[in-house]
Amino acid sequence: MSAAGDIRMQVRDLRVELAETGEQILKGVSLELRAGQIFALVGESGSGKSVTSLATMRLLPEALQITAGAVLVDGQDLFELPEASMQSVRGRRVAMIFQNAMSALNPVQTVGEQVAETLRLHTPLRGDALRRRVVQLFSEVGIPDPDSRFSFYPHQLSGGQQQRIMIAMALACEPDILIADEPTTALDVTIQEQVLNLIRELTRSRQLAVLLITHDMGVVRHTADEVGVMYRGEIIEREGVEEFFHNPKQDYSRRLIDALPDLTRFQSVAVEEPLLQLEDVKVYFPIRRGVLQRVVDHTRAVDGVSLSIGRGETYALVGESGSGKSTLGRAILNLEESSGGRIRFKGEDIGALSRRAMLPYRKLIQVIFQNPFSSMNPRLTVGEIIAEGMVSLGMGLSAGQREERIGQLLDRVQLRREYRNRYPHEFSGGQLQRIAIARALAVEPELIICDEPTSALDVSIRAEVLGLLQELQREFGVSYLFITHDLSIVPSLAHHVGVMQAGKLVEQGSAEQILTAPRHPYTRALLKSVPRLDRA
Amino acid sequence: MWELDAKPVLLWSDALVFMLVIVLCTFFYRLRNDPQTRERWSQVFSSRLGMVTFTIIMVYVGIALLDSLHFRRALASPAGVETTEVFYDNKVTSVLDLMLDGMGDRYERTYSAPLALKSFEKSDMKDEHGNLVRDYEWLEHAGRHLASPADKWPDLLRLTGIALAWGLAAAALVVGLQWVLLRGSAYPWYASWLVQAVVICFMVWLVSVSHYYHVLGTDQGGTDVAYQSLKGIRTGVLLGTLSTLVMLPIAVTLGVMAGYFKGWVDDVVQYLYTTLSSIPGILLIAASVLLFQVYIDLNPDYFAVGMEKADARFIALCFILGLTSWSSLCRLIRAETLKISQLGYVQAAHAFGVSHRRILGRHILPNVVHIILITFVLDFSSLVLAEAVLSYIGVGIDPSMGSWGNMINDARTELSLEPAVWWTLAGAFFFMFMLVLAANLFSDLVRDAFDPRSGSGRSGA
Repeated sequence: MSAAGDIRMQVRDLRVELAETGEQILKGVSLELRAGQIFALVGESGSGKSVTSLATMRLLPEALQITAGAVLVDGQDLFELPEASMQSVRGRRVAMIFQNAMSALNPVQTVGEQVAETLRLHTPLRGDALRRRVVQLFSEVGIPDPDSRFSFYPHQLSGGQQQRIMIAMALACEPDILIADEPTTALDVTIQEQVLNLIRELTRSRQLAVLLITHDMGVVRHTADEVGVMYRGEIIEREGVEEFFHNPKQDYSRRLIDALPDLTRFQSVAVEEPLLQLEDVKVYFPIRRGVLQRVVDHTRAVDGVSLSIGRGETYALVGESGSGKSTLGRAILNLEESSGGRIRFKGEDIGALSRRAMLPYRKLIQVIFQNPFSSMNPRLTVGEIIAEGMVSLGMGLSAGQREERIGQLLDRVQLRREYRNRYPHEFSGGQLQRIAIARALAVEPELIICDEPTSALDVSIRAEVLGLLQELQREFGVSYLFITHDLSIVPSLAHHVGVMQAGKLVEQGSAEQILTAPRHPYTRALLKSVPRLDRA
Repeated sequence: MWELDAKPVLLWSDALVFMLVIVLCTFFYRLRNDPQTRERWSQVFSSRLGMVTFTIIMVYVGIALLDSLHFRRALASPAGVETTEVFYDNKVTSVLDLMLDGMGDRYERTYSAPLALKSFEKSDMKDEHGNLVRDYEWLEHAGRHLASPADKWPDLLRLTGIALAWGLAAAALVVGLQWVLLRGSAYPWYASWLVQAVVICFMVWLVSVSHYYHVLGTDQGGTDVAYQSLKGIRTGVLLGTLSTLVMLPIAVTLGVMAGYFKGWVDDVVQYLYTTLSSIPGILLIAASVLLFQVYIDLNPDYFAVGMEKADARFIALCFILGLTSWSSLCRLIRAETLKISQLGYVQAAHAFGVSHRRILGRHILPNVVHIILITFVLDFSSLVLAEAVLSYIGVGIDPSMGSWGNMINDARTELSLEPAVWWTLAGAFFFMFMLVLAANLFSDLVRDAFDPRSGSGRSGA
């Protein structure tokens, strides 16, 4: 075994292009993986991180072609090896783990059997010795009661344990190099941390050279030794992790760090009359079983949430995916039937209104969705999309007035008036989200439910859209219920914050209080996963 | 002029097919406004294959439409009867029959081989001395103008030459006109023009030669096989389109409702199509056709001429085929609607208080149109083939109405003769093959252009 810091794998000037059009996907990527160190490749989706990892292992789909470059492992260029020898490189020398462990494991085979199979392929171990080795690996990756877990099927294990099994499988043949492609993205924050710690420990104890691919700067901060920022197929910045977080050189990197910017300035909390009040709101989905589809149980998507939003105020609802934030938003819009509790808007209970009785309130409560590409009908022009609400809610405008208003709205969201005759597919994500904002504003609402409005956007555009939303709030005095999983945008935006976990609001308070003095352990875990730019 | 003394006959199927043409034309005229759709269609037509197959399909549709303009000829008043009343022929004629210039009226006694001068079978006749001989009879309408049988091939060559000259002249006229209009177009029109020229030459040759010979021979009843094959076009095309037309509203309405309203509506629709698709299709169709046949037989008064009776049975068959084949499209549309109704724009429309009807009409229907279109083109050829299968087992089209299925059904016995009578099958096969091949190739192109899952459909978006 070689000493720490030795170069285990060297990627030189890797270029990949789309076979059909010749479009460049990777424009000369170079990096080195060193023993005992973790190299983190970060970037937005589509920046070429995963293509890099697949290309080094020669696992690219046929549509992509490697046009130049070399991948050296022990002085041997992998691109010159015949496919048969590559088989033994993958697994023996270089192991990979992927994002979704559940789909990478065979559901009809026990996890022990699956790890044993890899061992059987690459080592002479058989019988009892083989089993002992698997159990030993299981305990090394921290699986409780490894002996009995041997005969478990993947679905009997939690997501974190499945990822641990994947790691055990990757380590089975004692590789020198580990490529981990978004290994924790599908996991809960709390479990995410444990898995990352495990990877970190193994890197040290086994002197692995790790390529960690992620979009999550919190992960990078906690695990990596060196960072490479990828943008449009190039590594635009490479730095040691401490230096990177203290002093990012590229403007893009700074935005990508997306950190809690400044915990000293918050939106001042104004005591205002409440616009929307939720009292113990519940949304249950029935679980039906059997021939007669009897309701046997309920999925408690939202389980007793109470909160209040004032006029002209922003309430940020924070939580992971699956915590019920979006369902709560849909319940307020009366798109989902609430199973209990009261939703009061300006003092009126709107939770139980019929479709018709809800109409007057439709004008006052509007919504902006996460994915701008699916929230516009591809067959209508932008003008028609914006006009839809004005027409169906009977704003009493003539056709001419409506046209004028569409023009004003487009002006307001900083788009050109001529765009009204174009179709959604001609716009970028950021532009579409502006159109979505214009559509919501068209009916002069008092409350807009923003369901992750920026999470499908590039970091570079995110800030612009958030800025626009804040401007509009000052101008029209509209309130926002801002649903997000991204704590870093909260301080500049929100007056109040609520943290949701498994359908329950575990903590709420002013933004300052939540971000500087969180009480609930879950809030603390969430906060910890967001990196801080501590610029001294 | 006897052409003027004619009474137009509007069969039910004629009315339906012209209605269909009008509906389709307005549909495509309105789709023209949607840039995305326009772009996709232009993708279909910018390939030579698309142009060629579309032209072939259009030729078939054109022949079917000409064959759907029906009338009954007035008969000359019987000699010695003074009456102002006009009697009309019991036989229904179509514009196509006129254009084929009496091709269907030249009957022989029985089988004759293509371009033959004598009958295929021997029969008893008297020679000039009055002796009974058994020999191949001279045909009634073939080669009568020839001085000797040896002149047949030179004569055919001469006829072909003249026909080709006329055909090329006509083709030049038709293509030249289009050339003037479409000169600057980016689409490969020349591919279409080539097909048009070939089709025009072929038709002119067929009509002119069939004055003197039976190009594809005659069948057992002595009818010209080429004529029968051409008459089969209307049956095939109409069956394909009418059945799809019957099926579409059922499948679309039920599918969209099930996917959009969910709950008990979905349960009912799913129950319906699961039940339907668990009954063997061919048995269900056979039973329904026989049931309707009994109704026709019991109520002969409803039908003025034999053609109307055949037509009623034909329409019944279209309806039955349509009513039994909607389940797969319905399932597709239900799934697509389920997906679309979860999308942001439908949710946003709910949040704007848009009514159910408007959501369905503006947001959901336009976004499942690509599925409808793909299914329409794909199902077309399978329905034409289904007709052949049904006629083969004897529950298809009325034998008095020309259809490829019936011709193939006849060929069953003819092929076992020695020497075999191959031309009936060949005629039906050739015309059916051309249509189904063109429709299949065209539907592949349409699917590539419209299916969002195929990459090329998205590339322009």
